[in-house]
Amino acid sequence: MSYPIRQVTMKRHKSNEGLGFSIRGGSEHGVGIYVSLVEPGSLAEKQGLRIGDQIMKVNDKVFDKVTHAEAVKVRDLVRSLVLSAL
Amino acid sequence: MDTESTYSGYSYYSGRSRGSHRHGERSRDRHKTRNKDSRSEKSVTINTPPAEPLLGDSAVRGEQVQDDNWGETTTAVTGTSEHSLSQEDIVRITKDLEDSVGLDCRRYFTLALAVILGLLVFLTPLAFLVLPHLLWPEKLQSCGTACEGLFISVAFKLLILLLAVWALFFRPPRAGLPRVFVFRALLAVLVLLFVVSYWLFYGVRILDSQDENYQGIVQYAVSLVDALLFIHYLAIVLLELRQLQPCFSVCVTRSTDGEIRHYNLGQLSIQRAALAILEHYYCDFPVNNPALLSASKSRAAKHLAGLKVYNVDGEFPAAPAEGPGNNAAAAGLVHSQSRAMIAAAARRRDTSHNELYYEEAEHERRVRKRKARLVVAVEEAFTHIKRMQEEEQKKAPGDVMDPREAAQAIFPSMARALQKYLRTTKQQHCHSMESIQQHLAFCITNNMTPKAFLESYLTPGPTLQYSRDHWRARQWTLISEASVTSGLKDGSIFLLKCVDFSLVVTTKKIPYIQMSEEYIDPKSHKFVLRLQSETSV
Repeated sequence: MSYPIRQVTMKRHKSNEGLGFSIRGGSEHGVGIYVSLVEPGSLAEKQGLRIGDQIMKVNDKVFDKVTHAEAVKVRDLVRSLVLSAL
Repeated sequence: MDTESTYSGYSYYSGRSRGSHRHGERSRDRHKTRNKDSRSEKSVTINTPPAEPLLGDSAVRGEQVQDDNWGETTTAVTGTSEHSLSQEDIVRITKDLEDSVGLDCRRYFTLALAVILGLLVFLTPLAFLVLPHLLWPEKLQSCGTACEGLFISVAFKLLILLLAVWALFFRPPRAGLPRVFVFRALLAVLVLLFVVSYWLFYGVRILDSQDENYQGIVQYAVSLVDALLFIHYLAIVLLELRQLQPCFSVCVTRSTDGEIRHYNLGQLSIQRAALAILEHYYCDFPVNNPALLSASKSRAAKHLAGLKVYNVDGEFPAAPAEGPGNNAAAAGLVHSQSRAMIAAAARRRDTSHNELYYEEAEHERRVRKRKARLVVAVEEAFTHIKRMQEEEQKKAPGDVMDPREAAQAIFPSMARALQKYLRTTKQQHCHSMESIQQHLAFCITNNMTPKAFLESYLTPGPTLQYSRDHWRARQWTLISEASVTSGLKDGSIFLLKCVDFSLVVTTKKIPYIQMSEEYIDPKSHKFVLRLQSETSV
């Protein structure tokens, strides 16, 4: 059963501000990148990101077979993220 | 109680240093005595063949002696006749006698002082107890039970004090130090003052007034003995215990070849620290072998000899020049000359370091080859000897040899290889043929393998291992900027000089260690498997 893909836009006001969620997974474990924790009152929660969402694409970069470390690195490079989340 | 002065019985060596304040004479003496030590045996033993320092090659020995002294003698050491050597010997011996009389005086003086003090200390309580009976026996109260019990206590305490003093103070002197041992002197003065004050009190209050209370007198004597025991406790703490806790780390460097050792010492005065270091030196440092330094000396000589400065342009500006211009020119000339010398020297060094490299590689190869030959020869020699069992001894008494004869029998087969090896490693003057044979007999007696026999020749051992000739430097001079009775401090430096080399000693304080504790509950060691990492974004 495939779930609908949502688009979530998050804009950071400061470059060292966190987005407010934690990710798990990675291609080294054989799975995609999943949201494991959403901090209450954070940007992610306001945009409707929830635990269990899988990150499909960030800013036109497909998160199909990325390793955990690469996924984390992407976060550092961008100021505004567009996530597609399931 | 203290015998801190000189060594007994070695006046032959002690005389050499007495002339320490006469420096010029001393350096001359030094060179002469070097020659004498190798040739004085020749001049003294007329009938028997002299103990050869080398393995039977006296021509080489003569040349070695010349080599060693080549760079150092200021006076020309020609082939002097036996007569002149023996005259020098006589002069030296008479000087030794004069000096040793001086030493003995000092030693006997301190010994006499110690004996007098000891007798005073031991006889005082007994005198306190006996004098009333002698002087006023009729007035004296009789001694009751308690009083007689105190007699026993005095007797045993005196016995304990006697044993303790014997254990602490009556030990053979290890060395003669340049200055008085401060703590011992202080203790002696303390004991003397103490005993004198007790006598004063006794004389005034008891003898003069002829006190009848004998028990009080006995208790007074007991208190004296108790106090003496406490002073002995103080002596133990000051003399023995205080320096046990390590406080300083000293670094000892030998000036000739740079051997370094580190030791931990407690709080000692500089002279006692020097004594402790010297005792370690004889056990730890490999023997000083001047022959190993001849290569570097010859290189240094080549460096100096190769360069000469010629002034082509004119005479040197010897007189002070007028005006700044001339001064600058003169200074510039001197600078340029020295610069030219340094540049030329730098260029020269390039070739000599190549030579050194190849020479060392060649030497290494030669040593290894000789060592291989030596090991094979010794192993083969050892196979010729077999230990006889008890039963066999009775059966065949014909060819039976004792260890010394056995050593003499197998020695010739390995002598040549051993001699060549020792020559290559420049150790031939450390081992005489006699000592090698003795060592071989010793190894045979104790069932040692050929490798065990060879070890003492393959690596240079500590100085004490060699024969007495190499203990030449038992006379040391302590050179220090601070007073030698002052304590060791962080950063104190002093020198211990002997005839051939000196030991440079630097001190560093062991740092104060601040340790704190951290408690770990043994149940707190818990682990999880890390399947996936979680990163917050």
